[in-house]
This record gives sequence, C-alpha cells and structure tokens, in this order.
Amino acid sequence: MNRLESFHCRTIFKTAIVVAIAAILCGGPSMAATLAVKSGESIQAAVARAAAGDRIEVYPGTYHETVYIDRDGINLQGIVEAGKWPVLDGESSLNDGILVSGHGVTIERMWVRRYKGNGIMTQGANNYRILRNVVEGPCFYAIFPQFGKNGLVAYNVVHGSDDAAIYIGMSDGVDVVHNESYASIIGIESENSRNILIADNYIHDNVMGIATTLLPGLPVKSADNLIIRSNYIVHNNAKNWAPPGAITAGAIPGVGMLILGTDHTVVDGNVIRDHDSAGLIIAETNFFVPTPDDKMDPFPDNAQLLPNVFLNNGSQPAGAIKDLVEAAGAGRGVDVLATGKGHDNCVAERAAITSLGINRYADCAPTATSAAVLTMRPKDPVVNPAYTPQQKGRLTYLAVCTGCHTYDSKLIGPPMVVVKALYGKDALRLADWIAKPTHKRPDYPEMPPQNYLPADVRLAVATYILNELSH
Amino acid sequence: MSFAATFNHCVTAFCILLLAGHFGAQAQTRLEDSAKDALYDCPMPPLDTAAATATKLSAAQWDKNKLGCAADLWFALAERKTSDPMLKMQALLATTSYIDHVNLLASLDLYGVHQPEWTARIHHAAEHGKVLEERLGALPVDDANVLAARALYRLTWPAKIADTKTQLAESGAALELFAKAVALDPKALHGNALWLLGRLYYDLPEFAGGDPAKGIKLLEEACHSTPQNVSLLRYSAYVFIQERDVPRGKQRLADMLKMKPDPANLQLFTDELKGASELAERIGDLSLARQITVKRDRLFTAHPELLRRLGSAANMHGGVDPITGKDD
Repeated sequence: MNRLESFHCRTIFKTAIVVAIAAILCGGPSMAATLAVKSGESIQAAVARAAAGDRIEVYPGTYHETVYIDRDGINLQGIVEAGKWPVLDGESSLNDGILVSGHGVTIERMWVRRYKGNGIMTQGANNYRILRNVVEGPCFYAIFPQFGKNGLVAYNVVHGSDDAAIYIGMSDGVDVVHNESYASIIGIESENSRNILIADNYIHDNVMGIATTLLPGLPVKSADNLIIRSNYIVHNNAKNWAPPGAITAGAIPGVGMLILGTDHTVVDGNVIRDHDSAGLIIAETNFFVPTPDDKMDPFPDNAQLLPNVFLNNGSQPAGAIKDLVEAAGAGRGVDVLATGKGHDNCVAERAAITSLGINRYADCAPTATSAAVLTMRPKDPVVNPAYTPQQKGRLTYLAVCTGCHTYDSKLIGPPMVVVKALYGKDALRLADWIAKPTHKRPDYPEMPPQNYLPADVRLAVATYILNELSH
Repeated sequence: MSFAATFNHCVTAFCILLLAGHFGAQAQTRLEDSAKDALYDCPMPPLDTAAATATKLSAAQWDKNKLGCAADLWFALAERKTSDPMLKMQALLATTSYIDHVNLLASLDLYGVHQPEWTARIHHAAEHGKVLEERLGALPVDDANVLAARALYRLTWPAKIADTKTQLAESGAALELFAKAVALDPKALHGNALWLLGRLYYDLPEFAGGDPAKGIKLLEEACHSTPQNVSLLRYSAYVFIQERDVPRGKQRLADMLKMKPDPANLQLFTDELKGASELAERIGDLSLARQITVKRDRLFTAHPELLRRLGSAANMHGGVDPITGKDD
C-alpha cells in the first residue's frame, strides 16, 4: 500500500467502530503506511516523510546516499525482483550506509556496499532487526549495532570489513544467527556485551573467525553470558591487513575463535576446522590489549568448552601463536590455547582435543548443554527511551564524527579542539556547516555533507562538540 | 640536534608502504604527521652541566620530550665516561623510564592514532638501551642494582615494538636477572626488583614460565619489605581482587589512600591512584573510590602539568558514555 492509500484510510474512517475495520483494510492495527522508493528517488526523502511505524519499500536500483533513521518502528524493506536488489552504494566516498537511532526498526533485504565507515549501524536503538541484507566492503564495520538492547541480526551475508564484519558493541540481548561472514579481519565480534547468542553462522576465510571480547577504555565494563553454538567456523587464515597500531592489528591470523576476558562464555557444538594457528584461544584481556582499565575484570571466568568438533587446527601457527607454541615446547599449534588465567572454567572431551594452558580447567558436567537457550533476546520488547538532545548529540558524535575526528589528534579530519576554537559557542553556525561543508584546509580532505541528519540532530551534535566534549 | 630524526623517517616510509594499498592518501598524511611528533630538540649542554640538565629534565615525568631528551643526555654522558658503570646504569634507567612512559601513551592510544610516533620514539631509545645493557652485562662483577636495572630494561623495551617471541625471550631473561638481583639483595632497585619478579611470575602464561602462586608469594614478601611502594600496593590490590580475595585487595587500596605522595614521583602516584579508584569501583566500594579520586584531584589542582590519562573516542569507540555522559 502506498502513502496516498494509507492517508485515504486514515482520513475517511474516523469513528472508533470503523477504525477496527480500517485496521483490517489498511493491513494492521497501527495503520502503518507504506512508502515506495523507486530507482532514481531518495530513500532518505522517504524516511523524512515517514511516520513512526511506516514501511518503506525500496525497489531495485542503485542509490548513492546515507540513510538516517531516527523514527521508531520504521521498516526499511528492500524489494528484490528477479534477482535484482536495491543497492545502496557509498562509492567509497560516503561514510555510512544506514544509520539507525530510532527504536524498533527493521532493515531487510538491502544490498549495501562501499561505505568507508559502517554499512549498517544502529546507535542506542532497541528492538531492532537486521535481516537478509548483503553488506560488502571495503568498509570498517559491515553491521554494527552499538548501545542497544533486544536485537536480531540474521540471514545476512557480509564481507570485506577492515575490522569486525558483524560487530555487536556494548549491547544486551542480541541474537546473531544464520549469517555468512567472510573476507574480513574478524567475522563476528561481540564486544563488552551481555546476553548474546551467536549461532548457526558460517564464518570462513577471515583473519579470525569469532571473537568475544572485553576491551578496555569503553563505557561498558563487563562482557557476560554469551553462547557460541553450532557455527561452522572454517579456514579463517587470511593475512591481517590492519594498520600497525590499530587494535585489529592484533587479530592473529589463523584463529577460529577468541575468548578475550568475557565471562560465562559457552562454546557448544561448533565445527571449528582448518585454522593454521589455533582453533580457540582463551586469554585475559591484558594479555593482548594492555591498556590499563582497572574497572573491569580482565580474566575469562566460567567459560564452558562443551563438545565441539575440532579438525585440523594448528598446522602452521603464525605470529604470536607460533611464538607461544614454541615457548610452550609444543611442536605445532593446537585446538585450544589458553593462557591459564581465570576461574571456574571447564572443558568437555578433554582427551579429544589438543590443548595448551588448560591444566587448571575442570571437567564440564557430562550433561552440560546450552540447547535449552533458544534466544538471548528478552521475551517482550524492551522499553524504548526517548533520547534527550544531549544524548542524541553524544550518540551521533560517537556514531558519525569519531570515524574521522578525535578530540586532540589528527585522524582524517582536524581535531575537535580546533573546531571548538573556530566556532566558540556558536552551535547553530557549526550545525549549518555540518550540513554543507566546504573545503577549508589543503592538508585535510573535504568533509562529506552530513545533510541526512535532521536539523535538530545536527544542532545537538554541534552543541555537544562545542559545550560538552572535552578530554 | 634531533636524535629521533633519522629513524623517524625510516619508520614513516615503512608504514606508508605498508598502508598505501589499503588506506590511501588520508592514512598516509596521518602517519606522516604522527611520525613528525617523534622529533624533539635536545641540544647537548656543556659537559660540566650536562648531568644537572639531564636530572632536571628527568623530573618532568609528564613530558615525553623532556624524558626523551634526558635519556639522550644520560646516554651521551655515559658514552663519554666509558669507565663509569654507575653512569651507564643511570643512563639505562633513564632510557627505560622514557620507554615506559611512551609504552603507556601507546597503550592509552587504543586505536593507534599516534602509532608511528610511539614506534619511532621507542626504537630510537632502544638503540641506546641495547648498547648500555650490553656494556653493563659485560661487567666482571655482579651488582644487584645493575642486574635489576638490566632486567627492567629487558622487560620494558620490547612491549610495543617487538614480536611475541622476542617479548617472551626478553621476559625470560628479565626473570633470571631479577632473580639473581634479589638473591644478592632483596631490596635491589629500592625493592622494585622483588615485586617485579613476583609480577612476572603472575603475568606470564603457565606454559611460558608463569607461576601465579609463586608470584603472589613474592608480592607478599615485597609488601612486607617495601610497604610504601605505591606501584606495588596498586598491583597487589589488583592481584588479590583477581584472586577473589577482596578484603586484602581493599586493604591495599586503603593503604594507598593513606600514603603521602613522593614529590619526585607525582605522575606515577596519580597514575596508580587512578588504577586504585577504578579497582575500588570494581569491587563496589564507591566511597573508597571517591576518596581516592578526591586525593588524586587535589594533586591535579596543585600540579596542573600532570597527565590525567583520559581516553578519547575514536573509530566509534571510547570516550564518554553517550547515554549517561560519564567518562569511563
């Protein structure tokens, strides 16, 4: 149903009795409208017209834009016709494909490619669903939900990320299931997140397959209750191309899975095969990332290594793993390599795997299984907070600005201290400039216009930069 | 004179070659700019005042350029007076202190924004350190302080610039040197040798010489012999908390709260207080955390030059919590 038909429904049927009939005629009790976007039109323009709960159908064609969704309940549906997809193409010049800060948003069947930052990112959004998309690089993150609760990331095909292709950041209650992830530095990563299910995915030909991490220096200080189950984690042996010093430069090639400092991590029923360095590494955070952060417990506690299939791992260990294996006096890599730190960890089928560093692990109970846990998402949608302008400003700064700017250093754009000095307290002027930037300095690239951000969000982020941001 | 210049350019060229294929002109520009920051002016003063100048520079523990220059001056002095082992040890300690400072800056730079600068600085200092450590190693008689200084250097230099194999080998060498130093004098290097030996045993993986139980025992011994070592107190608090002995960990934090700062080591003191307040917060003692933070803030007020060690956001990570607005 298109927007006009929906309006027609809304206008004619006004009484309470007829509203019930209208709900049937209009396709649902919320009377959501459907907006169509055809090739040559703007998806963002449709988002701007949409009301909360509306469905936006995007038809095959190639769209060069950033789509920013800050309304609740928007259903962005790609329509695939005879094998032709709606393609959102950043042409390696735009930063982000789809940015979501509204709650209850669905992004489905979109082909997103060549965005320098994120393919699809949710920032502070709850109750989201990212389904059946194709996201290809080069990009930094293909699918990156951050600071959200109750999410579903399923049936996506992702590849070509310079960091984690599917990156669950500081989230709670997310299922990552039935995805294919390949040719990225990390296939799937859950960072400082709680209640996460990573199941039934096919993860292959990355530098590293899956990582569950507790990283220092982030606002969330724990990572707890993760199940990694029934995934096919195969041949993640690509060479690491991250720049020296970047945190992903530490991603070790040839590793199926890494558990770094996360607690209550269950590894159950996966097939982990053909990794040059190791099938699974379990370590304390500061073993690989020594940034001081005493607010978090860096040890991996209560890990359960339940029966998995380990095949042909450790045949040609590389880099740090090679060195560690040699230090341990082992002739080759192993299925499971642990640094030995942590409490109350256990392993099943100890005799079936090759291992180092698990002498202090107990035997898991023979009956232990994660099978009863079908989802980590809450039974009911979580409450959706309405963010204040201040929160919107901070969220947008983190999601959009920090891809190119830091507070006091040159990253790609100028440091924010310079911006603060230039604009003083004039947030309106900065907000206007964000929408229509001009090339000011020969030693910096021109900033892409951020005019997809609504005026209130631009003002919120400008206000945050000038009034609150500090070091 | 710019000591870091030659190596600095070499590193920059290497990084650009490595990155050009993937990150393009923007990354190249950033790398060039970052590597330029490794340069610092460090003119050699007249010989009779050089030691005093170096001592004065070493006191600025918050200033990477002054620390770098101090290390360079001590090295130049040690090279001129080749027969003075104590001067060499002083130079090695100054070099280690500078590398340790840069290591921490690099660790706080989680997304590698300044990586070329850190790498260039450490490589430059490590060239001097290698010379000094080898010359001290060739001395005919073992001295506990010299052994401990060598151990400290070998533990410190590879952390950010060497591969795991080298780090493990150097850690193993440091472990032996510390053990030898402690056997000669348990209070070697003002008691630091003993607790760092304990820390090494605790930190190393079990298959690479680690022995947590032995490490904890040594840390306890060190706490008895040098109870006023702020780094030891903070680290042993961390270990007790990791080992789920929260009361003893908390006691160490409370001890830190009572400590008077050493005016010569205020940066170190405030750094350790940061860790202590974070540990107190982790174990849920917000009152203790607040008291430690207040103590630290007073020092910042009195000494605004001290580094606060704050993180900032980069690449969509870090900085303040966008929901609460609180720093991490």
